[in-house]
Amino acid sequence: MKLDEKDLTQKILSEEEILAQKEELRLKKEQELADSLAKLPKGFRFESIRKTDTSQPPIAIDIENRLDSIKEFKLSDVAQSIEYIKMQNLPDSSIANKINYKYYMTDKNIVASNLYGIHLFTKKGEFKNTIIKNQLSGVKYKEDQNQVLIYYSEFSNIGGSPNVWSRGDQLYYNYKNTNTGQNYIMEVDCSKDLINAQYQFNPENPLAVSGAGKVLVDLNRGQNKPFKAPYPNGMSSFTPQYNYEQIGVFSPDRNTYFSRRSRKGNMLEIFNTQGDTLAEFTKFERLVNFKPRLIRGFDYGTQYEKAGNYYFRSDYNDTIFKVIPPNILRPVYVIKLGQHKVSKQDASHPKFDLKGKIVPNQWADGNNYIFIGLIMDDNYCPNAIKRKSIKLLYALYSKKNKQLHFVKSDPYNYDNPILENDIDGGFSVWPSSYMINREGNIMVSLLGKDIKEKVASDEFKNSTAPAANKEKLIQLAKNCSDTDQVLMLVK
Amino acid sequence: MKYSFKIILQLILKKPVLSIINFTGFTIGILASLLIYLWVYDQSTFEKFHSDYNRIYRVLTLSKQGEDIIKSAASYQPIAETIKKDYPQIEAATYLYGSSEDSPLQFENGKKIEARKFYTNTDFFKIFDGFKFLEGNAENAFKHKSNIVLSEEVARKLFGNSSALGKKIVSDKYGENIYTVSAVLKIPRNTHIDFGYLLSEDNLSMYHTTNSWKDSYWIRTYIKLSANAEIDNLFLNRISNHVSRYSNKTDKLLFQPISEIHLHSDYRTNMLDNNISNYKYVVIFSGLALLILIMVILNFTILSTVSYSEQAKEIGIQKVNGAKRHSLLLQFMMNSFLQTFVAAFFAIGLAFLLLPKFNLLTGQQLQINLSMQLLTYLCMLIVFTAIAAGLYPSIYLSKLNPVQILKTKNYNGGNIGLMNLLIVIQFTIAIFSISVSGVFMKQFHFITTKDLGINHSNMLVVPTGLWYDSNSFKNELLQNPNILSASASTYAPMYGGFRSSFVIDNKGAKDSIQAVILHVDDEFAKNYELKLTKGEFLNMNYSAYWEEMKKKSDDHTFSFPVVINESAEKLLGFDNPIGQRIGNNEIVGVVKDFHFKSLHHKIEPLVLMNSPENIMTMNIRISNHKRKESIAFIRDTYKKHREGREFSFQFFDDLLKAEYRNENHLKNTTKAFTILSIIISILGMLGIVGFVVRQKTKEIGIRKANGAKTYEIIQMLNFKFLKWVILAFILACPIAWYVMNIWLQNFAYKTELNWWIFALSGIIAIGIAILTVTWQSWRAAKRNPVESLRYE
Repeated sequence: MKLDEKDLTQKILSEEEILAQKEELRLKKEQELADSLAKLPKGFRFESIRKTDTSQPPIAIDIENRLDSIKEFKLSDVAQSIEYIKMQNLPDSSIANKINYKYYMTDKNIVASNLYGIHLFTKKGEFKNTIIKNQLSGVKYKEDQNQVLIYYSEFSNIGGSPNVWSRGDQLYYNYKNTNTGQNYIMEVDCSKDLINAQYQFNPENPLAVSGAGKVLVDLNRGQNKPFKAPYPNGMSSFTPQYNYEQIGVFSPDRNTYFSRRSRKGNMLEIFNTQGDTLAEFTKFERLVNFKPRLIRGFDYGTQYEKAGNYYFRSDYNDTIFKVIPPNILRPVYVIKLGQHKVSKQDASHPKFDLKGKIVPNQWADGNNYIFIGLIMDDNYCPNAIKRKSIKLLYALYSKKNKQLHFVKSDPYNYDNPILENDIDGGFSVWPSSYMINREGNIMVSLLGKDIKEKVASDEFKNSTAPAANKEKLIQLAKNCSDTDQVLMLVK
Repeated sequence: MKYSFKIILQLILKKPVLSIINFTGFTIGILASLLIYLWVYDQSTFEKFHSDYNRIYRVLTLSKQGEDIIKSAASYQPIAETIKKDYPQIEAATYLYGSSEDSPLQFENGKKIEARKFYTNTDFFKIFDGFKFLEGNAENAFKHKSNIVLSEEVARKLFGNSSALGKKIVSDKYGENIYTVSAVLKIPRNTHIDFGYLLSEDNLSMYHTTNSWKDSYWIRTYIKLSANAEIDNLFLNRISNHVSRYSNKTDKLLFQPISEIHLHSDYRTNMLDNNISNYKYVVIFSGLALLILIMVILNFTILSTVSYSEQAKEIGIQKVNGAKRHSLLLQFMMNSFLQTFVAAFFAIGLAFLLLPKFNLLTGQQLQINLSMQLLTYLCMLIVFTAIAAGLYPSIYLSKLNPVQILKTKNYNGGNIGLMNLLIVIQFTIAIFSISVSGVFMKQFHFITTKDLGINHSNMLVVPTGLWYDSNSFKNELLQNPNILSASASTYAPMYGGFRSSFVIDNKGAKDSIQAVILHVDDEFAKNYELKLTKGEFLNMNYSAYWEEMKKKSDDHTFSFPVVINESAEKLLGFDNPIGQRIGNNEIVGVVKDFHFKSLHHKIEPLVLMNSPENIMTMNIRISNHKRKESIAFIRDTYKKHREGREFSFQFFDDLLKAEYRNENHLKNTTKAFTILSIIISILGMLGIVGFVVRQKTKEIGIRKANGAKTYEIIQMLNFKFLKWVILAFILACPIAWYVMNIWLQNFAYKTELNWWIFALSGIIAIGIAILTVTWQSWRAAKRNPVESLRYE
């Protein structure tokens, strides 16, 4: 076991040098971009580039020709271990906490967010601070249906979106106040200790931000308009998980941000922090001469952050783009559906028969695998599920050997995640895009009661997973209350 | 053979002084070699009681901290699990997750004791099978999460001589935990691992449910290779990069054989690393023993040669009567063997007698077990010494020409050149030893008396574990007029603190510095009399600062005040450090550099900050009188604050002494060896001078008869020997200077190698030589010249 210490020292120094250079380069680029943006004449637009980089062509994932390559996969085929991080309960008992957190891991912290706010924890799950406590009215969470109901007649929201992102010690979140119409990207320096702010609305200073951090970008450019519901007496509902998947706004650096909520129907718009449009990307496919009164919608695209970069796929499209500000979209993956592809025009038509058609549903970009969920034969809606006319297919694309395999599963199983947990006999896993952390590990959000139910289940008892691992889960269940939030980290 | 024995005995009895000198020398030489062997053997047995110790390694980490690459035994918790999983060459991997202070343990309503807690996994018992189970077994040790494995010492404290197995113990440090004793382990003395009790890592996961690649300070990782593990470059390359594969760190791993930890830990250690010594001490002590043995052998060689030369006629007659050369050779060798053998017996007896003293001197707990190993060593030592000592005189004397001997009336084959050589060698060694001993003493005096930059006189250090409650304990103490001042800190400013990196003004990782953090309260500077050079010291307690910062904060963030030392100020390079931010902190003051670690270490950049969560020690300055009463008061007050907890204290000065334990032992041992070398030199000198005086009896008689004064005769003989002692001095000084220069490099702060140490060594040696020669010369000079001339 003799190792050359001097040689290793040199290795460390050169690796550190590379890291420092990378950081320096990033800062330099950011500065250069800021300088060049500042020099642009008013109204200047960059050419929108969305061509393939020949040195890094997109990876084609051939769904059409691999439909028969079915293989049995278990969790241990894609991961080695599981850790459970029990999140400390929030000291502020007035913050409701019954919805599973969405987790985001920075280099040093875990950020846990849900409908009720955003909170900072250590990597051991110890509570550090509340970034923002959301003040909601007209919002109800129905636990039995896992649905968030919004009643527009009473609706107001002062708080942060659960989608956060970070660069170094800086954490970003989207702050909105529906009463005042404020819409900001907030920046929080997590290297500093945070003092719990007065997270209550102050009528004397209605524009005071009731969350931690400083305003980085005013998304309204000073033109705040209080929220008006399209149907003042109507309501809408969604699952919290749907909300977690949607990243509406993102800033890759301190100079630009992009939004996918385009007023012009664009698929992406890139702005500088003053709100000037730098580039816009029109959708490939728009509805033309669409006559039916109803529009069927079941693909909302995919979006995720990876290593500080923003990736997305627009609805019914087959390409995953990486956004390179200020004006480049680079295709990185192309999902080849061939004859199974359906156009947006057809898919949106309520009477179009989707038999044999495939639409991408889930996409999670892990370290070694891409987890792909696909919808086949029908529209993904409660009725289709009830009549079992829709198939859910799952495929794993191995980045190492560049091969796609479909996971052997019951296509009519709509409830349980597909990778059987043979590591500790606990929860089966199939990640969504937001469930992959920056180290490529899968983050599964659990509640104490889920864990208790799981260890009491026959499935767990009959599992052949190693007894020692099972015992750990049993012990965890014993030490959890029903409402405890636990992060399951699949490595 | 019988005849030879008779002759040998005659020779021994005929020259009692010479025989005593030789015998004493042999005894001293063998005794010194035996004691040092016991010590060196003991040092080499560390960790070798584990059956596969040669397959066990401790994981070391090389990491970039600030501008430096630091090697350390600190290790990340996930290494054990991931390394075992990733490499088939590794049979088992474990870690020890230590706590920063002792925790209480109590059996029923018995005495509450304090013991050091470690978390580990089940592989611990697979790897460290040398820790024998006195009760329980490895299979059941961690069968249940609430199981606790006690060290023998802790088990005895809690349960006396009765069985501990299955008993329930309560630990109520942070809430009440009840453990069931599942095993008791015997921890041998010769290991670097020391724990009070072990808990399963499952308990750890309740607090640290994630594996962290961040914290490593309190963790040590060990691996055991498979029996036929294939270790190739690919494997080494991968395993050294293991941390980078799981985290964004550039740290590299090294693997230290467990048997090398005791003597070859050339990296930063902390409180988890017990019994760490240095191979240099083994080299120094072995060297000293070897020098003593060389002196003894030379003494015998030369004194025997010159002495038997006086019996040349007897040898001549033996040869004329048909004695063969080989039988004479055998006879002389037998003489050497006989004396060595008898001396060895005396040496063993003396070793038994002197071992407790030697243990005291070296701080060891050595024992003499007449094992095969020891007996083999003794036999080899006797054979080597006897042959080395007897070879030259045997060959020299056996080849003497009988005709020439018998023809010459007063044959005197004594080789004067050889005697002079003996004087030079012995006094070189003696002067070397005196110089080395002098430098050791000077350095020891230097490190134990050097101003540390703090006032630590009458400072009592009490581990409290009181954290947030430290303040009320302190306030109550200060009610007593005999308590002059008190302050809380992580540890006494002797054990350093935690190392951390600070980003300067949040400019990014490359603009960071490495500094040691010492958590202290607002009275610390006053208590230890630190000298402030800029700004102010921390002048509020934690809660007051917290409130203050909250008021100032505009964006819900704040920076906590810290005080830095001058070294940190220099490293940071701010024109005015006051008000600058480092990491999440604002500098409010700068104190003059002071030593917060032993003088082996340079003063490093230091950050003093106020954080009650890391306050575990109370530093109490008591008045010089009524010390007993003061300590009793502190104990009673402590008991009020921590009911049932064991009270312990140490004076700062004692902590300081403990830091220099190795140097103290080295100093004492060297002193003892120096005395031995001086004794042997004197014995050698006595023998030679006696011989010369006998040779010069006639000359002295004639000189006296011609009116020479006694002092003139003394002068004549003294000059004859002193020139060789001076030559020895000239030879010894550069060697001693060179060796001491190397040794002093172990210290960041060292005494000067003054010329006068060497001069003094020379003066002592010359003084001893003069006294020895003068005494012998005086006796010869005082004799009646008629007596010496009568036989001519």
